[in-house]
Amino acid sequence: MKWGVKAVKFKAYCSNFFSVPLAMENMKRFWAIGVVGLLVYLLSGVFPMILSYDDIRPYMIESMLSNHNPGYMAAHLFLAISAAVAVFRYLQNTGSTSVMHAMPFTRKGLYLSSYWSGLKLAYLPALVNGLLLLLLKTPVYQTVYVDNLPIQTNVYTTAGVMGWMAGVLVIITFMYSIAVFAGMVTGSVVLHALTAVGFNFLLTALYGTFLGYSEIYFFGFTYNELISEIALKLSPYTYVFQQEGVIPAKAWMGYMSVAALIAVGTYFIYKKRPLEKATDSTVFRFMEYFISFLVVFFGSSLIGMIFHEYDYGYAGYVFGGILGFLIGQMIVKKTMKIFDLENLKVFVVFAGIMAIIVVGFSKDALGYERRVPDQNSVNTATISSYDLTPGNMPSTFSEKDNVQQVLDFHKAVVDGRKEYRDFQGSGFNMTLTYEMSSGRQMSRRYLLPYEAIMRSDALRQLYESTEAEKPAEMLAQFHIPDTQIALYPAGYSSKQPMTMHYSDDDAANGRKQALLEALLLDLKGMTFTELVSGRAPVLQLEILHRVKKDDTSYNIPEETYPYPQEKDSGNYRYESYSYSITTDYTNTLRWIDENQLSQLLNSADEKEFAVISRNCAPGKEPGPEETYDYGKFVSIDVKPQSGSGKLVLEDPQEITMLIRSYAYRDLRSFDSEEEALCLMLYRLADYQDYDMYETTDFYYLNKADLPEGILAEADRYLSE
Amino acid sequence: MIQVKGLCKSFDDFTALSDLNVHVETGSIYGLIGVNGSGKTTLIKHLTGVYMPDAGQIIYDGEDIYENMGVKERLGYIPDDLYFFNSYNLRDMASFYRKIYPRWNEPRYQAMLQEFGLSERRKISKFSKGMQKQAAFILTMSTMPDYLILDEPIDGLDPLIRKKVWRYVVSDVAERQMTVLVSSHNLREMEGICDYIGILSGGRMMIERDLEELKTDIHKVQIAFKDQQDRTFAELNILHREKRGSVELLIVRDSGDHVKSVLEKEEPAVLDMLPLSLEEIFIYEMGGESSEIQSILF
Repeated sequence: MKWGVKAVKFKAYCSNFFSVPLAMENMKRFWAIGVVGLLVYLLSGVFPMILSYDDIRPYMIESMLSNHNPGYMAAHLFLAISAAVAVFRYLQNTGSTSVMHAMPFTRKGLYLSSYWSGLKLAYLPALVNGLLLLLLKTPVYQTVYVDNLPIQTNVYTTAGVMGWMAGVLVIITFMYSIAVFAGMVTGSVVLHALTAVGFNFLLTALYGTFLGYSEIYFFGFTYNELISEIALKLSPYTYVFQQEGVIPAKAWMGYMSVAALIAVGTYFIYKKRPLEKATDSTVFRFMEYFISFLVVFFGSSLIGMIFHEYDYGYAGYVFGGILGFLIGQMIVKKTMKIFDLENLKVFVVFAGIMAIIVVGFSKDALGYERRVPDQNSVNTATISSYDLTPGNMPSTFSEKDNVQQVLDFHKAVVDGRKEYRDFQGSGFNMTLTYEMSSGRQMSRRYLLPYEAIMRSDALRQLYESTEAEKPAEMLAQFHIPDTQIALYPAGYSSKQPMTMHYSDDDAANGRKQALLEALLLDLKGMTFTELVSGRAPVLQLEILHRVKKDDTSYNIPEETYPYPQEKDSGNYRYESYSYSITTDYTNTLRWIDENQLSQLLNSADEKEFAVISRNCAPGKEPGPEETYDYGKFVSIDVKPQSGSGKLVLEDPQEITMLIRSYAYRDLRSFDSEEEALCLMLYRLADYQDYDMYETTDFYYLNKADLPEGILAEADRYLSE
Repeated sequence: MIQVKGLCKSFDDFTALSDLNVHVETGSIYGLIGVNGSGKTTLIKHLTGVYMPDAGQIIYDGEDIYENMGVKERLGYIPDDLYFFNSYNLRDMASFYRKIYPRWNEPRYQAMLQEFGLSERRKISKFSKGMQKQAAFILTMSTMPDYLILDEPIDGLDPLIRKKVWRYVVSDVAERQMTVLVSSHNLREMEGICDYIGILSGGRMMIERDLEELKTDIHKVQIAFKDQQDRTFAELNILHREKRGSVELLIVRDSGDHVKSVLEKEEPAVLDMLPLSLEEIFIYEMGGESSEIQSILF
C-alpha cells in the first residue's frame, strides 16, 4: 500500500477518536470564558503585584502560590465548571444533539474532542497567569527571626510558581472531569451547571453532614486531625487549604488518576446516553432518584439539625424531608404536578431510608459510642485533659497494665453514658486517643462530672504509676540556655511577670535548672488526689523552650506532645508549657521562697477586702447586693459590713492565708454544695465614677477546713 | 440504497417504532408521511445515526449508520429544529463544514449563496426562520451528500425558494444518484416530487409504494344509474362509498381496467373515473375521514 493511502487511512482512523476541527471550533466559540478567567487571575494577583512592584508584600506572593487567594479559588471553580457546561452544552438541547450527532463524528470523537478543548479552555488562563508570574519574578523576602537575628527567605521562586501551575492543573482537571460527568447525566443546562458545582462538593457535603449527625448523637464524638484531614483531602480544591497549600506529588498523582477514571467512566456513560432525553432534567432514571434523594437528604438533615438544636426532636427531619422531596421532585420532573401514586411510593422509600439514617445515628446502630478497643489492638493510649496534664503535657501510656487501666476507665464512662450524655455543668473535658496496632487512630472526647474522675480507681492507679511521670521527665531534658521561664501570680495582680530569659550565663541558668528540678520533683511526687484536688493555684509558671529543627539529640517524639508545639519560625521550633502551682508544689514554692520571690504568690496585695458568703454554687447568687455571674466583672459602690449572710474580711494576712492555703477553684473536692462558701476579693476600681470597688478573684472555701477563728466568725454571720 | 430492517424503539413505556422496515432506492426521492406522533421524527433520528436502536438495523449501501463516520460524511441532514453554533454567521459555519466534510464543494457553496441571496457575514441567529432553513440547505447541499434526509424542509419557505430548493434536490438525484428521504405534512408538494411514498402509523409502516403505482391502483368513481336499485359491486375492493343525490361516489382499490369492466356491466347512465390526489389516497388508506387524518392535511 502506498504511503499516501496509508496516511489517509490513518487520518480517518484517528478522526474516529478526535476531531481537531471540533476542538479548535470549541476554543474559538468559547474564548470568552478563558478571558474572564484570566482577568480574574490577573486582577487578584498580577495587577496588584505590579502596582506594588517596588515593595511586594510576602503574604501577597504566599497567598497566590498557595492558592489561598480567594480570587484564584473563584477562578479555578469558574473555569472548570463553565468550560464543561459550555463545551457539552450541545447535549442539552434537542436540535443541537441531533445536528452534532448526525455530523461525521463518533460519540468517542465528540467526547474526546469536547473534553480536551474544554480542559484546555479551563487551564489556559492559569497557564498564562503562571507564565506572567515567572516573567515578573523578583526576589521577595520574608523576614524570620533566628536568635533574635533577622533571616530573609525568598518566597517568590521559580519552583514556587511551577508548583502553583502543577497544583492548578490537578485542581482544574479534577473539578472539570466531575463537571463533565454531571453534564453527561443531566439533560438541561441549568441542572448541568447546578450538579457540576454540587457533585464537586458532594463528598465533602456528605462527609460534613455525617459528621454533623455524629456530633449531635454520638456521645464521645470528637473531631480529630484525621477527620479534618480526610474532609480536606476529598478534593484537590480543598486540599490546598491545608498548611502551605502545596499538593505533594503522591497526592497529585492520586487526584489525576481519579480524574482520569471519572473521565473514562463518563465516556462509557456517553456511549449509553439516550439522546432523546435532551431537555429532560436527567437522562438516566437512576439519576432522577439520586438527585431527588440528595435534595431530600440535605433538606431533611439541615432542617432536622436546626430543629434539634431547639429541642424539637425529629420534627425537623420530617418537615425538611417533605420539603426536600417536593423541591427535588419538581426539579427532576420539571413540573409542579408531582402528586401522584408513583411519587408517593418514591416518597415512602425515601422516608424509609432517611428514617434508617436518622434513627441509626440516634440509636447508635453501628456501636460507635460503645466501642472500647481491645487491649491487644492498642499500642498507646493518651489522655489529654487540662486538669490531668500539668504543663498541658498529655499522658501517653503504653505499658500493658496502664493501657488496660485507660480501657477500664473508658469502659466505665461508656457504661455510664446515659448519665453523662446530657451533662453540661463544670467538669472534666477529656480526650482519649488510642494509637492502634493497625496504624489507625481512635479518639473520644467527653465532658464528665468531677465525681466520674475523682472516684475512678483506674485513673488513680494510672496517674500514680511510674509511666505517668514520664511527661514531667521531659523537664530534665531541656537545654537550659534555650529555656525561658516566667513567673507571675495566679490571681489578679498588676505586677510584671518575673522572666528568666534565654541565656548563656551560668548563674542564671543554674537558677532555672534548680527551679525545673524542684518542679520535676513536685510533679513526680504528686498523688492523684492532689492532681485533681481543684485547689486554687498561687502562682503561674510558664516555660518557653526552643529546639533547633535539626537537633536530633532532643529525643522527645513530637507526636507525643502535640499541643505545646507552636508554628515553625526560623530555625527553631518553640514549645510552651504552663503550670498552675498550688501549695502542693512544695519544692517549687521552696525555690520561690529561697529566691525571695514570694511576692509573686497570690496575696491580699492590691485588694481592699474580701467577702465570704453562702450560696456560691454555680448559677446561684452569692449575696444580696452583688449579682455575681461567672464571666462578669461585678462592682459595688459601698464596702459591705459583716452580717446578713456575709462575712467581710479586711486583714491582709488573713486574706492571704485563705487564698493561699484554703481556696479551691471549683466544687470538685466538696462532698456537698452546702459545705462550700464563696470567697470574693475586691479592689478599688480604676474608674470610680460608677462604683467604688470591683471584684478581682473568686474562690470556694471548704467550711470543714477553715481555721477555727474564721470558722467561728463565719458561723456567726453566715447563719443569720 | 437505504434500508431499515426490523427497527424498534421505545421511550420509557411508550413504543415509538415497532418492527419497522423501510426501503429507499438509490437515486430516488422517498416521501415519509404520517400523522403527528406516528414516529416520523424518531425514524429520521435513527436514519441520521442520532438515536441508538433498541433493535433492528439502518443500512446505507451495506453499512450501518450508527457511529459510522464514513457514512455520515456522505449524509446530509436538515432537521425541522435547526441548530447553528451560537453567534456564528454563514461564513463561520461554512468554514467549520469545510473542515469536517471531505467532499465540500466550494463553487457550489458560492453559487448557492449568490442564488439564495443570503448574507455571509450576518449572524445566523438574526436570520428569519425561512432564511435559516435556506442557510441549512446551502450548507448541507455544499457537502455533496449521497444521502439526504429532510425533515419538513420547506416549512417556512416562500414558493420561489421552495422551487429553488426542489430544483437542487431533483438535479442532484438525477445527476449524482443522490438518495433522498423527505418527511413533510405538505402532501401536495410531496406528490409532485416523490417517487416513493411510505405511510407511517403508530410506529409501523402501513404502505410503502411507488407513488405512480399507488395512484394507478386507487380510483375515484362517480357513477349514476337510471333506476334506483341498490348495487353491491362485490367484485370490487371498495374503500369508501357515499351517495350524493342520484350520483354515487366510490373509492376503489383495483386496476383501472377491471373497475371499468365491472361497472360497465351494470350499464350506468354516468361513469367517470377520476385520479386521486395523494391527500385523498392518504385519507382513504388511513381509514376514512377522521379528524385525526384530516388534521395533517392543508
